[in-house]
Amino acid sequence: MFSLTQQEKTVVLFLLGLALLGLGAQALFKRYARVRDLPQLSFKKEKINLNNATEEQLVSLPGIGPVSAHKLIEYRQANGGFTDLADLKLIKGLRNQTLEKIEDLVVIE
Amino acid sequence: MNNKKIPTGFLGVFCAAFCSGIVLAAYTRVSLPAFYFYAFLAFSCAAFSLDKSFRFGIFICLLAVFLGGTFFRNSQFLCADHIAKLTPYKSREAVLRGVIISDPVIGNRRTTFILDTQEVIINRRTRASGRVQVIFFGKNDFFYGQELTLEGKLYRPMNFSLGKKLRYRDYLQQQGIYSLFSTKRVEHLRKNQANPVQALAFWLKHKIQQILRRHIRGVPLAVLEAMLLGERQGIPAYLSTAMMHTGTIHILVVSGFNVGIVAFIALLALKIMRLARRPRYFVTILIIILYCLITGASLPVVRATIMAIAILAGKLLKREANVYQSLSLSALLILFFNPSQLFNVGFQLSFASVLALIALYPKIYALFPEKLCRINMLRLLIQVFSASSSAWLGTVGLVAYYFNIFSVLGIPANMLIAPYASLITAAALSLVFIGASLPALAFLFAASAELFALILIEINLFFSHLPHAYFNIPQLNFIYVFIYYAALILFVLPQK
Repeated sequence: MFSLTQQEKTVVLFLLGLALLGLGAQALFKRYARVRDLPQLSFKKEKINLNNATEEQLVSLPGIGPVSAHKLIEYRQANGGFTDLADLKLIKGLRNQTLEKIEDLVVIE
Repeated sequence: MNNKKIPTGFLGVFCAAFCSGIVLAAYTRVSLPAFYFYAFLAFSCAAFSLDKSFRFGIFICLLAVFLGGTFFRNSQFLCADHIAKLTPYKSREAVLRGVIISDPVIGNRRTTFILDTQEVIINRRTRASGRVQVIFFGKNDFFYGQELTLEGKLYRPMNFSLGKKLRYRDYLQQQGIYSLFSTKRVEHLRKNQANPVQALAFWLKHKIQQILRRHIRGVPLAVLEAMLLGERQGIPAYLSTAMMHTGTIHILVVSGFNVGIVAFIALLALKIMRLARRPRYFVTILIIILYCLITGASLPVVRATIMAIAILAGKLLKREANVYQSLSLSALLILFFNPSQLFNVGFQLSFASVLALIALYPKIYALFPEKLCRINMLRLLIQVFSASSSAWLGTVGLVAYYFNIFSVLGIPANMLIAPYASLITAAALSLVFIGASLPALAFLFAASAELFALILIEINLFFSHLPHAYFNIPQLNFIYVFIYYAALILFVLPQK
């Protein structure tokens, strides 16, 4: 069967043995792997200043798409900037849910 | 090619046994330790039967079956810090840190890429592993190998269906992706954190895209990008539907066909440059490996690349290459890496078509009288017909089963389009080469490549609009597909 020489058979068996051993070792590593805690991740949580944020920065906020970002910039230009977070409620199309989501991520300076 | 005997050899039998082990594991509840134990037992028996040829063969086959099962079970067994185990059942806010390991796909409003996770914060910050598909809403510069921190929502993929038998969640799991992450907030950390060879390949891909986009616009550009680079985002729905109906959609997928053309053009170009035989094969092997990486190493390309390397290496070492052995080797390497690919439609179609081409082509060619085959033009026509019909016969069962389509015009459409597609690929490659070396002359090559692409589109639309070009068929039971392929194998097997 397969017409393999003795040497070829040994090589085949050696390679399959290695694969089998590797599989067993990998399964054991997975079995005994633990979830390792790490110190707090250094993700920048810098708040976005609504009075000088670019359209790209505004779009990065949850619930704000290109249209809402454009409206925010238009409002800022027409009124000389925001004075309070409550000003956001004057912009049409911005839902209260969106305002709640972004109030911790933005600042007015 | 031998017409009387099918020289599958050791690798062919081992591959078939390995695949049956995967199927056994997928449809039974045999555990990983049990599979491992049986594999170890078969290995020990084979080791004690080294001097008994038949017994050794039987135990090696059994070992292949249990190894297949062990590989499959092991691939399904996820460690405790795998992102799939950390993903909550309901979508939840999370922070991920990881490296981009795919070429980002940029859409209208979003960018999609695969992230190799390193750390995650859900309740607490922990180490993590595994892949996540990231959907970034907005515009940003992402590229392969970039390390990022992302803040967004981590969730499990929905189980909606792409077809009656194709589920999105299963499809993602076959790629090793168990979680999705949608985000708008990103912090770029370090660059070049992944494989530098793959990074070079993607850089080349973007350069090729730039050349194509500089000279060609619209649907012809989308067709050329799909044929050369496997980028199908720009293909309009009407065209892909028409090509699916005519059974020529494989033209738009970078496949073994494209690898073959690239290898052929490389060999020809190097021969014209008077490069010696051995270095020519060696350089061609390097070129096709690079091409495989440029196209994102999709399944059919990996299959074709391994086969081509095996055949070219055979020529390099002055050994006769066996197509069955190289096909089995490519299947085994793909399945060792990811056994779930056995259930991938692309894998099945790719291997079924190549196997059919190898096994059926000589049988169909032999059906024609020898007198006809002596006339040059007729011989060419018979060869094209034999190739098209064997590929069609090899895939028609699977296409009917998965897509519920029976394409009547598959053979004539492929007879015309498949050879024509090689001309388009050659024209596109020439454009890329001239665009990079002599940009002032590129417009000439661009015009001809665009014309060829436009003609391809028109031919496809013509075929798809013919009455009864295809039939939508009811959902098939797998048993019919099994009977069909069993009959096909009986036809191929040598008769006493």
